[in-house]
Amino acid sequence: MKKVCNLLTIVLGISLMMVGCKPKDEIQDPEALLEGYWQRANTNEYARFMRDNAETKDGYFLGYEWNEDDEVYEEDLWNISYHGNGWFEWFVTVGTKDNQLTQIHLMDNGGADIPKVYTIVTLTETTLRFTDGFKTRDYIKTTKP
Amino acid sequence: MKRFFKILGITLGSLLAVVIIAATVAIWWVFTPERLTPVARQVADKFITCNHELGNVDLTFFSTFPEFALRADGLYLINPMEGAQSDTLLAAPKVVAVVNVMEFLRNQNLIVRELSLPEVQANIFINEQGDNNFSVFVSSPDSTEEDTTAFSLPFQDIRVEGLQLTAPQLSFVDKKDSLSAQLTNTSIHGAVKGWDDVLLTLQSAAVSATLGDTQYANELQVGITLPAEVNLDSKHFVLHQAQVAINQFELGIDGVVDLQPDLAVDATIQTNNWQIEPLLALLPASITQSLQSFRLKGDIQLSAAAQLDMATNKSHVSIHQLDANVWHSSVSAKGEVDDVLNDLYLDMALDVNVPIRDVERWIPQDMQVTGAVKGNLAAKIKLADLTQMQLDKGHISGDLMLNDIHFQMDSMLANLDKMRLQFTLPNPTPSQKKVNWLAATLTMSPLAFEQTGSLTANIDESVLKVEAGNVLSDDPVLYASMNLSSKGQLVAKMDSMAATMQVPSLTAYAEYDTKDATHIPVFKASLDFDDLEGNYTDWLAHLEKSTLKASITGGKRNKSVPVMSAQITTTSLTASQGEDLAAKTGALSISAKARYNSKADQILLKWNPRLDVDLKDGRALLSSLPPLIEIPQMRFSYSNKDFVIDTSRIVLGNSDFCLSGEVKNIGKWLQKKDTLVGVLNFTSSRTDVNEFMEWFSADKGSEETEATAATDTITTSTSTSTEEANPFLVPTDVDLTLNTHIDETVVFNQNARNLGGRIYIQDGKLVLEEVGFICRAAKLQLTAMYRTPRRNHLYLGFDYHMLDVNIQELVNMVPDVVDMVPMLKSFKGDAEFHLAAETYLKANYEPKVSTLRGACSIFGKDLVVLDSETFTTISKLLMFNKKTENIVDSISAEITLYKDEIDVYPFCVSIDNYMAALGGRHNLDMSFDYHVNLLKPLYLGVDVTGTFDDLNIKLAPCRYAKDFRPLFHGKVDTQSAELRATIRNSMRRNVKIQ
Repeated sequence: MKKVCNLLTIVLGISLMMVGCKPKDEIQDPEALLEGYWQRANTNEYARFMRDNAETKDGYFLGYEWNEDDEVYEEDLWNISYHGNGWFEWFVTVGTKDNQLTQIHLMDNGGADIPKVYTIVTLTETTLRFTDGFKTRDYIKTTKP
Repeated sequence: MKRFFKILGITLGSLLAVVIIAATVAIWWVFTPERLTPVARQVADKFITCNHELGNVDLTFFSTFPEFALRADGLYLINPMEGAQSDTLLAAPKVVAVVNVMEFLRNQNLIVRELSLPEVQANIFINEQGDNNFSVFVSSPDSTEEDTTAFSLPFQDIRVEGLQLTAPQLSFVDKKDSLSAQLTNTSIHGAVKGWDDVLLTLQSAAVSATLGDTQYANELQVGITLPAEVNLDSKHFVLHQAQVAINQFELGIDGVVDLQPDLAVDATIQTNNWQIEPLLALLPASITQSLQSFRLKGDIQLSAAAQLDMATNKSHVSIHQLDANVWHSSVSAKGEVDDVLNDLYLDMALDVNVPIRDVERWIPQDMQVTGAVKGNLAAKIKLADLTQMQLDKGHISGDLMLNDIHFQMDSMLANLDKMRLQFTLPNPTPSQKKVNWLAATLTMSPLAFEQTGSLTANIDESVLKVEAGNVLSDDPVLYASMNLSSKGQLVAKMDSMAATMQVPSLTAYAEYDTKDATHIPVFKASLDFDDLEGNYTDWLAHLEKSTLKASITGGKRNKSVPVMSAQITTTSLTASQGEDLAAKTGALSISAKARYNSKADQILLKWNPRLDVDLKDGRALLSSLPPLIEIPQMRFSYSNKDFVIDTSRIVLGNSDFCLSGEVKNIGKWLQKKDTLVGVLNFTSSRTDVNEFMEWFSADKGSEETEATAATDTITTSTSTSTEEANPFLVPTDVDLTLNTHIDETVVFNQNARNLGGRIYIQDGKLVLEEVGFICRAAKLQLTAMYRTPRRNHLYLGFDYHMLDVNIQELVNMVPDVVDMVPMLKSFKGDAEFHLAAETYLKANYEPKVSTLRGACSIFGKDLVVLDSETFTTISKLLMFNKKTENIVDSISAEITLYKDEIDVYPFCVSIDNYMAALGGRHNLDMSFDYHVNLLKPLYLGVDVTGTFDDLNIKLAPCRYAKDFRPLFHGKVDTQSAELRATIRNSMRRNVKIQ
């Protein structure tokens, strides 16, 4: 009896460990997959992730987003000589448990940098899903609108 | 008795018979022609030096009764001279000499009482050398020459006491003096009672005389009565009250006439009343030619003294009295006339009574003047200069009274009852170089002046001093200066302008080109007055005790472009323009210039004003600016190039401010060619920003064209139809900086005190830069920006830092912060607060949520937690002690705003015996998802979700232990802390206040 109990305990422990050790899905070169235009599902909200080395700052990449449902257009972000509202710096952190997309949103007046850390749920050549624990966003790869 | 007469008669008859018988015997037997003729011829030979012929001489008695006379049947004197008009000096068909027989019988003196030469023809000649053909008589025996002739005169002396000559033709030629004269049907009577008592009378039906090339007489009827003293040797004649009558013109002469060496006259002259027209007809054309255009009519009477010397070519007339009535005018003159025969020079004093129509000739053709002039004139001028209107070459002055004057020139009219005119020409002391022709002073009764269709003016009794350039010259430009002063009032109206002035004193200078109407006249004036009320179109003005200076000229390059300047110095000004402007001032000094540009549209570009203003106690009400503008003091200068405010204090609406500084490029900015640049310093005790934004909004966004501005519309959330909003758009061509210090300001619904900083408009941005002020919180710094790229894409952002803040005051000041940090409602105490936020807005200022960005960093200490429903619920759950005040050691929270997501980064609170951490998501729809971790005395987690009205609380695993108090020994998870540090540091980098 004692051995049976010990054996069950070992099997249970191993089982629990295996569950805890479920390996994550691996994403190859997430920056390359993110690069380009993305449209949020069922909206006219767009985001562009760029990897132009000339715009790299502190190892971050640059990107921008806009929402045409709010009467904001892509050219509005290019009509000023600096990167502000609508622009963000981004990088991907590949972790053991998950991959994180960090966006540091910029402001026109430079008053603050607004960090947003998302967990990448799905990232393929055509789809993107990430969440911040409160809200999940889905994007579809698109061409320049 | 009868017997007596009979005896007497017989006696006289006998005597008479004896006389007759004696005479008959003497005539027929004693003094026969055969006996007398030789004797007479011998006498002639004795006394006449030239060739001569004497006819038979006989003695007459009965034909010359009661005188005996010698009668010669002809006397001819032949004295040829080269160049003479005839060889015959004298041709007398008959010569009768009435002789004094008794003198001859007693004293053997041949006294010819009267020598009669009827039907004589004489030709008197003087050659160029002065030799004459009439020196043929021996005046006295030559005692040095021995008389060798056998003849001896039968009388001791021969003397002619009288002459009676009639001549159908007499000729006189003086080659030496270029003088010639012909007399037709002339009778000469001479009586000589000694050479010092000679009476000569001459009557000639037609006299013609020529001097040089000028004919001075043409068949004039001449009568001369000439009592004189005569010296034939020296050709010296003294006239005693001689009378000369030429036609109807009588002339009395007293004086001396010399014929050697040349004609010389020194005489007084007195005329009867001469009619001018026939008189002018007598004068040579060389004299009257210049007067022909006058068409003179009237009469003249002269009393004068004349001197003439042909040897020196000098001539002078002293006019003792000259009375002339010409047309309707009368003139009395006295003076001197020099060089009469050549370039006549007048030095005259005249008393005149002249209707102005009589002197129209001297008035410019385009000027009509009526009325009458009475007074005196003085002139020193050549006649030629006078007739040619070259008046400035002489000297003319006058003191005249003008009555009932009506003046008209072009469209100008003036009426005047009475005026005293004192003038001098030329102007002896011209105030300016161009007005050197005339100086005049006019003392006037009330004057009415009108320029038809434009200007009317009426002035009370006044004095006008005028200086003028030569209005009679060929120069088309008229020059004039004037000074007009009155102790009454002046009323003037021109087009839509009118003015009434009390006690005016006007000094002016003008130039007017009469030929070129496109040239702007030059007009410079200075006006002083006690009071002025004026209006121009819908402008009204009232000035007290003021001085106005104004000028208008043509441009230097283009005289048809008006350049104006004006200066006003007044003790008080009240002005209004219709419903648009009303203004009132205390002491005011304005200097203004303007240059008109017809091609420009905007009023400032059209007039290019330059303005200097010094104002005290001003008030203005503009229709485009609702509130009353009060200006206690202002001093500034303006031009389209720059606008400099030395000092100004203005009260406008709810605001008051002092403004100084400079703004440049106004003109180019109005033309859209350059940027309006300026730095102004603004201090105020109170400023209402909302009012200013309402007044000064632009028409389009900084990145809009006119087309896009018209089509950039917004669809409202409540309607499918487009609706144009009209937001405030920041102009892009303005670079203005306003350094401010405001004691109190109202912005939207906030009040702030001691606001200072820099506000500027640049590149289409309106920026409040590092403005610090003190509100109910403590130290505060604000940087705000408002941009308008598109009418429907407006930017508003601010960066707000508050140090030493009282949280309760903070909540009251920024209620929206409670939306982000609701629990702040439950706290009071001191804090440090940083807030940065921005968004883009629609035209109706509705935020575009997708562009919302913000961050907030709060650090508080010694905070007191108030009772609140929410916190009470939590405290019950966590079983806090119920105390009225619980101190929170510290609280440090970082909050971000991204679109509609407010993230409260986990922060830790120590209260009572508990330590708790809190964090989560707050949405703009007021829903939230917070997680509260109890870290002391035990680890416990609670999820608080939903809304305040629908709260949902449930237990949950601890999420934040790793951030503040790890469950197991280990390092605090730094990611959250790093993110919070990123936020906090990014916000503090802009803090300038300490």
